[in-house]
Amino acid sequence: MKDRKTVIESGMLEMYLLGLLPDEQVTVLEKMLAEDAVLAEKYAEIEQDFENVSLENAIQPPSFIKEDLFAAIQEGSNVKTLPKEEKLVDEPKGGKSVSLFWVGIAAGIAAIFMVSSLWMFNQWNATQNNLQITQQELQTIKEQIANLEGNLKNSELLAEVVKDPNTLQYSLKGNDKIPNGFATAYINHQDKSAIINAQKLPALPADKTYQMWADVDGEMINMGIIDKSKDVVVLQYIDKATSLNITIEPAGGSDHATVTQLVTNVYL
Amino acid sequence: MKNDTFLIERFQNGDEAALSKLYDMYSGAIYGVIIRMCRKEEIAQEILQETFMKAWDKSHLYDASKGKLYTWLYRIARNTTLNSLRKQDKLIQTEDLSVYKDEGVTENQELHIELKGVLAKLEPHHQKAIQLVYFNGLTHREAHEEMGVPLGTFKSYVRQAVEKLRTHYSKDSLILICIIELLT
Repeated sequence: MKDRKTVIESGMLEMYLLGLLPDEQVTVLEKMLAEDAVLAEKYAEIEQDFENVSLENAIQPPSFIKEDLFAAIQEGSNVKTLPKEEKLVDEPKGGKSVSLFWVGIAAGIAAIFMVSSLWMFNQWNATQNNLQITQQELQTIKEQIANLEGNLKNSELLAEVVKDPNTLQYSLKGNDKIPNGFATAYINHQDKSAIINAQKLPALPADKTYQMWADVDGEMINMGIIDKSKDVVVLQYIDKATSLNITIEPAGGSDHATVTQLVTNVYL
Repeated sequence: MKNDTFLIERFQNGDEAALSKLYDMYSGAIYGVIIRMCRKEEIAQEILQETFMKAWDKSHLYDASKGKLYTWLYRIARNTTLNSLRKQDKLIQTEDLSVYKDEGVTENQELHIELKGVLAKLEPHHQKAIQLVYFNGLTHREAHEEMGVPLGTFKSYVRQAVEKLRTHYSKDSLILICIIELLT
C-alpha cells in the first residue's frame, strides 16, 4: 500500500476527483481515505477548492431547464422538451410553452375569425333590412316628388293664368248645401281657358262628385268634373257662357246638370 | 454543513424541494463546466438537464462518506458531456468519410468562455493545466499532448496548481475568519 505522501504527490487525489483513476486504484484509495483522516482531510480540501473554482466560474443556465427538469420528473419520464435553438441569454421558454403559445395563437385567430364572421353576417342582415327600408323610402319619395311635380304644374298653371292680365277671376261662394264651401274660377277669354281652384270645397262621399257647368242661353253645358284630389283643375272653356255653376252629381259625372243639387254659381 | 447533510438526505429520499434547492445551489457551477467542455449552448442545456435527471434517478448511489455531493455531480456531468461529444464525433464520422479530428478550442463557431476567480490569477501554465483536465474533460495523457509538455511535467503543473489554489483559498478563508472575529 502506498503511503500518504506518495498518494498526495502522485496526483491520485486529483485524478480520483476527476473520475480518471482506474477502478483498481479507486478501491485502494477509498480504503486509504476511510482509514487515514489526514489524507481524507487533504482530499476534502481539494474537493472544496475545485468546488470554489466551479462556483467562481459558474454560468447561470436558462430557467426553463429547471422547469423542464421538474416537468419530466413529475411525468416520471426523461422526455426532453428543450428547444434546439435556445440561446444562452434568451428568456426562459420551454417546448411545451412554445407549442401552447402557438395553439393559443391559432385558437385566438379562430375565435377572431368566428366573431368577425358572425359580425359580418349580422351586418349583412342589417344591410338587407336597411336596403328594403331605403327602397320603400325611395318609393315614397318618388311618389312625393310626383305629387310635388303635379302640384308644381298646377301652381305654375295657376300662376300663369293669374298673372295674365286677360284672366278674370270669379269667386263661387257655397249656398246652403255647402255653407262654408268656396271655389275660385279663372277664365281667360283670350286664351279660351278655364281653371278652378276647388280647394275650399267640402269633401263629398265617394259616390258623389262636383261637376261644373256653363250657362249658355239657359242651357247648362258641361265644363267637366272637379277632381277634389287636385288643388287646381283645368276645365273646358265654354264660349258665350253667362254664368258658372257647380252641382253635386253622382260619381263619374252626369250628362245633364241636376239643378236641385246646385251648390254655387257666379255670373260672368 | 449540518443543513447540507439534511438537505442531501431529503434529496436521497426523493424530496423534490430538496432537488430544487440543490439545483439552485449547483446548476450554475455545473453548467459552467459543461458549457466550457462542449462549447455549444443548446447541447450544454440538454446535458445539464440530463445530469440532474441522472442524479435524481441515481441519488441512492451517492455516498457522502466518499466525497462531496458537488464532486459527485461534477463526475456525472463530465461523463455525460464526454459521452455526448463522442456520439457527435461518431455522427460526424458517419456523415463525412474522412477521419474526424476534434479541433476543440480552435473551432470558430464554438464558445470560448474566460476563466474567473482565483483560477484566473494563477500562472498561465497552471491555469491551462486545470482548464484542460477540469473544464475541458481531457485525460492527463490528452492534456499533456495539448500543452506540448511531457506527461510528468504536466502532472507537476496540475499538482502545483492545486497547491496554489489551496494557498489562495486558505488565505481568503483566513481573512474571512479574521473579519468574523473582528465583527464579533
